[in-house]
Amino acid sequence: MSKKITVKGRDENGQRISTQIFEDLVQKAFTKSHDLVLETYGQHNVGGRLKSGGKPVTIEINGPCGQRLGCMGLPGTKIVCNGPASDDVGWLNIGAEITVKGEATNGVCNAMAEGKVYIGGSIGARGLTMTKWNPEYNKPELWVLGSCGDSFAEFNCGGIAIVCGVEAKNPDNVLGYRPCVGMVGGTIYYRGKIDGSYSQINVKAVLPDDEQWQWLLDRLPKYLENIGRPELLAELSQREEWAMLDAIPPQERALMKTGPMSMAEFKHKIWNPGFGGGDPIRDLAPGLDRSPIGMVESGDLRRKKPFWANRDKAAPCAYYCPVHIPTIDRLRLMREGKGKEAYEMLMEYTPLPASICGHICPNLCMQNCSRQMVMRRSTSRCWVGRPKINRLPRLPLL
Amino acid sequence: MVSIRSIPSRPGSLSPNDLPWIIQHREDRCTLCGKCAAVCPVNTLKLTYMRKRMPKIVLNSSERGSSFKTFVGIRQNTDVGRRCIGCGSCAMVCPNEAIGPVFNENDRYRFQATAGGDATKRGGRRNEPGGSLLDRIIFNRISMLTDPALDAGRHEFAYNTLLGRVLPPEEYVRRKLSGEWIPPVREIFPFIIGSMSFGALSPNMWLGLLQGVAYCNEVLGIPVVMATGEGGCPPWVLRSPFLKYIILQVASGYFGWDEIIRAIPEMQCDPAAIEIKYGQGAKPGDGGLLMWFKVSKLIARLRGVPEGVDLPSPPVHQTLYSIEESVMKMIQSMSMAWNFKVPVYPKISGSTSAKSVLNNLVRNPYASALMIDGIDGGTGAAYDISLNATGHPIASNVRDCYLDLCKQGKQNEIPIFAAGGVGKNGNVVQNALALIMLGASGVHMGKFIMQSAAGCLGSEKNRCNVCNVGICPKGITSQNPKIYRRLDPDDVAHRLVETFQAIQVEVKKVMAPLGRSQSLPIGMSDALGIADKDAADRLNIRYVC
Ligand code: SF4
Ligand code: SF4
Ligand code: SF4
Repeated sequence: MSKKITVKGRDENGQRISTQIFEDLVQKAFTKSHDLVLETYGQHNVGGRLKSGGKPVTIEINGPCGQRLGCMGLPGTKIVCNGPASDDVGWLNIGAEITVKGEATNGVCNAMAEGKVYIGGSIGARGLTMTKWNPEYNKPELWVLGSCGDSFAEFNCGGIAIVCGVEAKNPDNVLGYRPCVGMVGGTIYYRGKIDGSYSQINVKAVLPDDEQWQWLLDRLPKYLENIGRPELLAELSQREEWAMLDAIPPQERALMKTGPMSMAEFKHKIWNPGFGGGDPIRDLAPGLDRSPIGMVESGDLRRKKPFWANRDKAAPCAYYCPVHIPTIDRLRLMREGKGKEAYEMLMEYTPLPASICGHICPNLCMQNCSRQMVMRRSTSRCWVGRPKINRLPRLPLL
Repeated sequence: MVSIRSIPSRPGSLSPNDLPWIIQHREDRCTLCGKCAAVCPVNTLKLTYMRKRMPKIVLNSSERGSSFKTFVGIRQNTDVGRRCIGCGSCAMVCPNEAIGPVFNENDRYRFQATAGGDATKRGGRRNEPGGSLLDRIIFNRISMLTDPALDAGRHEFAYNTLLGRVLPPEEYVRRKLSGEWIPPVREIFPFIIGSMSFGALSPNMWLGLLQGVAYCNEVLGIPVVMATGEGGCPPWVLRSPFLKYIILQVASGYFGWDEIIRAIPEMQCDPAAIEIKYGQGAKPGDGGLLMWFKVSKLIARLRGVPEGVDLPSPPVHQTLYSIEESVMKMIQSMSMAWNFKVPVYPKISGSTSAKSVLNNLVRNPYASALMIDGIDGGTGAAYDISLNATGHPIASNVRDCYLDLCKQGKQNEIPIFAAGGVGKNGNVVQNALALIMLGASGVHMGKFIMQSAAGCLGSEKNRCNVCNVGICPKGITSQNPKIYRRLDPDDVAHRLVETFQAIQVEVKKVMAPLGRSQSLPIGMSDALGIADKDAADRLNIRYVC
């Protein structure tokens, strides 16, 4: 199984063969050898779906390669493309290691869930987008020697990118315009200038900590060797040249301030100074107090004073009782000798059991009694239910 | 207990069941705190005591008699002038959820509302419950595989609009090269806060709105502008850097213009634009009137009049006699006041004659736009008949004008702004984008902003709508500090900002599926559909079902 087999992308007449037929030839060759050289001529979806049961598979690509190189790549597959690659390298890759020695265009690693993609140049737009990471497996990795196009790492979920900024297509902005929109996981190492247009609610700028730096150092040599640039190791091993964009976890995002400036701060810094530092109508209405008040206010701000007109008509003792005890009925019951009923009725009204009510109440019923002027004493405390008193108290005559 | 007497029933007698809003009061929950009665803006709540007779009958004895009980409760006044307006303030302050208004379909009040011999007036809106035509227009042209799909959350959208005369490219280049005058054009957010005056609005409301507008511009970068309405602008505001977010209005009353002219030499910046008001959608052909009790000391000083007098703005400008003259005199003079650097445009009420006005403007080199206010527009005060039945719905009015411009090949030169019922049922972005795709360059919205930013209680069921009498329960349209201090300007500003942020999101949510990100879809009527054949034919859009 170890003999190299070459599959050609052109027929005997030099004509391109279709992607479907080429795939057929590759799968047939794969039954004979796990070490293939593919002389592609723009065929798409090359290098994926090679089921080896985990045994190593080596695919070397010579010649112009079509789109989606290594798409649906499986673990164990190792693809090396000796030239540049077209769109969507590593699309839906779930474990293949894909090396592109030249540049790659748009959509590198789109929807990739596991595996590694090593690019020996720069990449186009929308790299590392919509990646997946199942914690049962390893995180997908994308290594780029140069720079990335716009909209990089959108909706990245766990993918790790390493962007080296060497011979970058866009040295002024190695991560392109507006990277990391909707990025919810993963991390991006980069070296070189960026324009700060990354999505600030998704990622934060940090510097690699010791562990992260070690992670990078451990893997750099293999990457450089794969793309055939081992001489860059020293240059890329300067820690101070590297920075990172790290996904903000949702818990942290929930705590982030939603608006860019509080209204209070705006008022203080921008609004009031716009009027020479004071209320904008202070000249029209000097001293006008416009501070907020409630719907129902008291004191000077009171607008209406509602009252129940029954004050004019109800018996004052009952009306002024804070708990509206119908004192007239109480007295009537007592006059009828129904002390127990009077007491029970009282208990339905008062929140204070036993005799506490009578002890703490300032006797509003008595104070407001209209017969005050007629009789010296209107009504008075009476003791109900005390065993020592076996006769009813004398009550005022009506 | 009511004694035995004859209860008269006059033609104007109403029972609580005849009123548009009936108070529901739950005596089992009420603790008689009186807050509801203290807050009721129309004093409809009566705190009453009542006497109840309970017959006492003991079956097996000859004893007979009655016991009397006095109890307190809350009753509703049935006088026409003190009927419940359904504002719900009582429900807002009641600590026990014991009271609140309920809408009554069967009111007889409407036949008695003419007591005193005047026709009924109110503030607010047209009172046409149910979905409006604009609420029924939907966006059908979804771009999926035929053209690149956009993502509202991710892509960047350009949706500002232009207020001002846009020259044809060759004319622009010619003038640029020869150093001639180029008409001023403003890039603004297409949702404009419609003209509401300092006077119609309380100081806390007006300044709160401006504060929110300033925040949108200075902090969020959303170029929101607000129109002031007639009634001037506080002198400090005229001299502030926020004037550039304000469209000043000149109307037939010219209120506040002395202060404005006085301030011109000291202005730090130019206003966003000048709006010349010829008409208002809610009450076409009817003027404005700021009633004397709203003319507080503050308003009097601002408008340059004595305190406590009625301030009428007549329906017509007294010294303008024809459209040509109006356009000449007003537009040219207002342009000249700011050295031809500020866009000047007229505002008219929706009308079958709108096209004639527009055509006149097309020929006027200084006219910057046309603003048409449809029948569903709001107002601080108007007769019911004007509000309900006078005017023109905005959709077909804008459509006709836009198609007319298209015929002349001028649709990109003079923008049309639409107003009148935008967001009246809350669907502000749907309504606005429908109008924009019918041909408007932007919309003005008033009632929606009051409801959204300040919690205005008004509704199309004639809820509240007492903006005209200075007792606005929310403090929006009152000049009484004991009332308007209920409204915290910071809260208004905050809600305004939230409103515009949400509008932005919704605009993107419509534009993205239409595959439109680089410019506002003005006149993109192939995206519109309505399940109403007649409306579709009239508006020249697709009938869908
Ligand atoms: S709804 Fe308004 S008008 Fe009606 S009773 Fe309550 S507070 Fe008064
Ligand atoms: S506010 Fe509520 S609890 Fe207080 S009196 Fe009115 S209904 Fe009763
Ligand atoms: S809340 Fe104020 S502004 Fe709103 S309808 Fe009532 S009175 Fe008018």
